[in-house]
Amino acid sequence: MSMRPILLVEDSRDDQTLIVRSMKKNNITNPVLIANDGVEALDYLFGINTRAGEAPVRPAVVLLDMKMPRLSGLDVLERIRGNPTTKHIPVVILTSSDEQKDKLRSYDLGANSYVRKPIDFTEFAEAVSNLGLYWALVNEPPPDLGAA
Amino acid sequence: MSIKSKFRVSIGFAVASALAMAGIILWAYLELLQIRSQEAFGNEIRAHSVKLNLLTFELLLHRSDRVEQQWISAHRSFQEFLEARPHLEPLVAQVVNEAIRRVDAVGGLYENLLGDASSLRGADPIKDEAAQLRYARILAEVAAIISLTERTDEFLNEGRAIIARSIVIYICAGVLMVFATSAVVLFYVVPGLVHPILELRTTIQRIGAGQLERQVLPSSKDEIGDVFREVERTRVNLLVSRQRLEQANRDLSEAKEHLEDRVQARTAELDAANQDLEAFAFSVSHDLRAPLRSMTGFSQALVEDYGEELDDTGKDYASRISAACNRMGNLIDDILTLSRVARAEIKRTEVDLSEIAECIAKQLREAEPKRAVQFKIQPNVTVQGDETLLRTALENLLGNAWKYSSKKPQAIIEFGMTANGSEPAIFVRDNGAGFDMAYADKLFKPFQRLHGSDEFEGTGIGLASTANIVRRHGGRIWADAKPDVGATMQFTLSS
Repeated sequence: MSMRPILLVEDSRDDQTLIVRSMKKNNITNPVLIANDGVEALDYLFGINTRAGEAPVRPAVVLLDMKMPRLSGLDVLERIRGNPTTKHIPVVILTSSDEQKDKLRSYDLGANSYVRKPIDFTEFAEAVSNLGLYWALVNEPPPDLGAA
Repeated sequence: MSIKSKFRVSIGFAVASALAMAGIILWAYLELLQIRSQEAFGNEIRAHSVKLNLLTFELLLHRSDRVEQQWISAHRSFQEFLEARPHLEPLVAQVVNEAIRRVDAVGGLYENLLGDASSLRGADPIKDEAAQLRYARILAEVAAIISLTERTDEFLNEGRAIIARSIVIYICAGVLMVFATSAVVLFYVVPGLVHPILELRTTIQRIGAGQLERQVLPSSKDEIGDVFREVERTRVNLLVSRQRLEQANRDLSEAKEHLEDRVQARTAELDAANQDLEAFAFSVSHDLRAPLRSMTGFSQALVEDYGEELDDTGKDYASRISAACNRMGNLIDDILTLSRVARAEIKRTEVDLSEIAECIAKQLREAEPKRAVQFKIQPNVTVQGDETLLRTALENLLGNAWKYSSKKPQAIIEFGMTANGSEPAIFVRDNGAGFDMAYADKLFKPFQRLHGSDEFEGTGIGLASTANIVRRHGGRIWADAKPDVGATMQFTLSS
């Protein structure tokens, strides 16, 4: 079974490293694609700009940070849900924010889950591995409609 | 002219008219009395003349001594009567003078007659021509005197007629004067009184209706004119008062506008400050967390991945980094709670605090199942308030009670409501570490702690948030404690 990739959209290199490390430690073997901001995430998903000519990626789940330069996580979410080829892709908001309005806005835009990055490393590692396990292995992704 | 003077003049005119008429009547009466006395005088003359006439005839017919004596006596009394005449009208006096002359003449004629007495006596006068002539002359004189009296009568009648005419004329004049006075009073004095009074009424009505701009000019120079001047003074005072009032109103509305502007400006400032606070809160929750996570994450990764190469001191250092990061994370969470409480809108509903307390107690027990803590939660404590905020408040209070009673083997935490005078208070009591009341004023200020972090963990923000929540509900919060005996936190909520 070819494993679908996990698309991690995260501007913090530290968080990227810690998340990838946690996944490996928990035996999640799905390839992890890393986008440093919202624009790169859209490049992956729609095969444009820096990834023009390449096939659009259909990840098992998008782990989406909220606050990023250029294009924010919520903007990316809106674009994903607005496009018929990507609208069913599971999106998990992974953020430091505990603000009510951020949560409401995320769910309004169609986020499948909202996870707050814990400060404690153990909790963080647990959260990430749970996420990876659930979305990459347990959850049945929608049929790949747009993929070539 | 004043009203008083007008009345005086009018009354003076009326009294003068009445006096004049009375004078006329008196004058007429006196004139008539005069005429009557002269008429009586004339009648006397006539009576004397007639008597003398009769005696002359008697003498002519029966010449005797007795008749002669009678004639002479009558003639004398006639003369005496005429000489003792009263004051007479000139014309009457003239007549009387003529009568005197003629009576004297009659006397002379009689003397002559007597001179011939010898011849005459015994003779038949009817037959004696000379005697006849003398008698005839006497008779003629007497007749003339009688006719004189008729002239007097005529004259007196004429006088009477003149007086009657005069009376009519004067009475007419008097009546005319009365009419004139009445007319003056009716057409000059009364209108002069009534018109200003009507005008005054109109003026006062106008002023009463608030039309104060038109000047009030006195329409007369009398006492009503004085009233007009008083009304004008009142009008001016009212106008000034009204203008002052209007000015005050304008000032007030200007001040109000100014105030509204200031309120708007302040509100805008406040909104801006709130937005800053929200931006700050977001920044705290996101940007401060990220480096913390890196620190805790990599220190843990260091221990996990390279633990074998670290000695115990190295591992201890790494764990200290993690612990410090965790404390800072809690601090950030508490600051966020505090700022959220400050910004939150209060949505009042009926809240069952007992239920919330039970729920929190359960969570605390689950978090530390090894501790033996007895909760005494009074059921059905319900209040009006914001459920989310009140839950935060109780979490802090019960969490503190749980924390500070952790060193007691038999911890007891009570929750309930007391009738604290007129305002019921909600209390959370524990038998834990308590504190020195000398520091009680620091209790509800942020970042103030009464225990060291080594003794009890904490950020010093929980009670500040709780106090904020209570204040936002219009209530107050206070504490009562004793070191090593326990603490009681109490708060009220305005209904």
